[in-house]
Amino acid sequence: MPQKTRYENRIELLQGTLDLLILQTLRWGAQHGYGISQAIRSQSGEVFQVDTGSLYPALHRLQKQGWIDSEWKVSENRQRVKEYRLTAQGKKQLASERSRWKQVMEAMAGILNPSAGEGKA
Amino acid sequence: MSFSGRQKREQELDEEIGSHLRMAERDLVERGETPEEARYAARREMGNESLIKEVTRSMWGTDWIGIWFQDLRYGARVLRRNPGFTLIAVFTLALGISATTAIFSVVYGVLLRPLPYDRPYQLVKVSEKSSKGHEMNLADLNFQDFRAQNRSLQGLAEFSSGVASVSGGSEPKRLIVAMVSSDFFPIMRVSPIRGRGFAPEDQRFGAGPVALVSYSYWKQYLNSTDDLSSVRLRAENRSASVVGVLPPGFRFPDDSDVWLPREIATMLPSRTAHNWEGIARLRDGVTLGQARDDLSAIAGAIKRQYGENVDLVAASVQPLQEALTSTVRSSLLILLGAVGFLLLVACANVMNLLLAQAAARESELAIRSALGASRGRMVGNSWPKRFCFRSWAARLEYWRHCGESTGS
Repeated sequence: MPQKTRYENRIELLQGTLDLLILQTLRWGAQHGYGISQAIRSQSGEVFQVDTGSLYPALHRLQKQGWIDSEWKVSENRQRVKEYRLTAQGKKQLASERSRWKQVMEAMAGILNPSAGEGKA
Repeated sequence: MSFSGRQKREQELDEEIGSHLRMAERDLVERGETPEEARYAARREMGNESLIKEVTRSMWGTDWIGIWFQDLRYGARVLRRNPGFTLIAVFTLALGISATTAIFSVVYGVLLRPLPYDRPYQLVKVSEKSSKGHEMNLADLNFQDFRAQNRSLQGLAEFSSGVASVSGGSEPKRLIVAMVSSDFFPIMRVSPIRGRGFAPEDQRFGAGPVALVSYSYWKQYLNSTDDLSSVRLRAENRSASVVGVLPPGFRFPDDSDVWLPREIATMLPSRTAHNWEGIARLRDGVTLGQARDDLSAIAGAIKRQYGENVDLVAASVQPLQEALTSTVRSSLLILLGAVGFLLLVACANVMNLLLAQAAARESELAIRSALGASRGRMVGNSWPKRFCFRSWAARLEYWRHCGESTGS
């Protein structure tokens, strides 16, 4: 079933990207969901619009996997907010996701700029 | 996850999404939009709130019980909205289910429930087999050879039963009287609850006739007397004194009420007078096949010795329950199959009704899918209805059953 595996890989890649972005954002400290989406948006130069419909499921999934942890806090506007924080396990996961992403990037670059690749070889 | 834990999570999710909306609103206001505009914009940006919650919830793991209850409530609501449809469906299923259970209870009682004797699986019916494969009752001399020479049976008895007028009790009565040979009660593992069983001196030709009676006969016609010594029964110009009462419920063979020792009647020195039915109990660990081989070997020896003068060639050993039910077995099973199909037809009819319903509910389904119902949930929604039907139909059948048993 080659077709099915390919399909699954694509989904995984998309999910993995959001996971990576969330974990990376939380590296700078605890943050609530809205904050995470705003951070990703501004750091990507407004290119990435994080869909709320993917963000919260992703956050809850990451928490279930034990990569992030959550805590209710009171924000500067005296609002109760749920903040997420990276766990030790999450840090390890971030490192492995980053290296995986690097591989993907290099592979993509190799395909998109074949001349550069040949020059190196 | 516990139910309350789930509720708390649910609340927290509401709060989390709510705070997200408020923060988005405030940012928009700070950027110069009116509060009104900001509120709409924030919600627009978020998209379908309940769908987001639903997908997020699914990350916690599936809440089967919650979904089950939701579907159940939904099913009940839909059914209440369509009383006519519901009524027809419930009655159709009730009919199918009641027919099936009625026949099944008969099949169970007759074919499946073990006979009410000790280790009923060891009880077998023994017959002679003719060269054409017919099963025949035992002839006296063959019975004696089987009994003396077999190595696979704990005991082998011959018996016969017939209707006879019996007097001596409070009133004369036509009853089934059985004549049973000496191994009969040990094989059935039944002993009298009053008085004594047959003693060896009762079980010989010319002995003063004695009889055992059934519990129900003793209660009804002998006034449950404790003094059995005075009771004499007359059955078909033979008079016998009652020596014991068998336990309640024991009526084998053929709902008998009186048992006499077979030995008081003449023994026919014949190998072709097939007058007696044979019953035996297998030894522990002996299989049907082994017993069959054992007795067939004896039958073969008889055949070799007497040649044309005997008509048996082998012996047949059959589980007693099978032998007792052989005449009704196939018709009962056919009946069970038939009502099984009736139930299937009922189900198919209800399915058709449901299909028609589904066509009528097209717009409802469209709305639900637009609101974000997953395909699985929409399919899942249809089963509780069937479940409701089933349980109502079953309840209806139960009431009918109760009504019957109180009515009778």
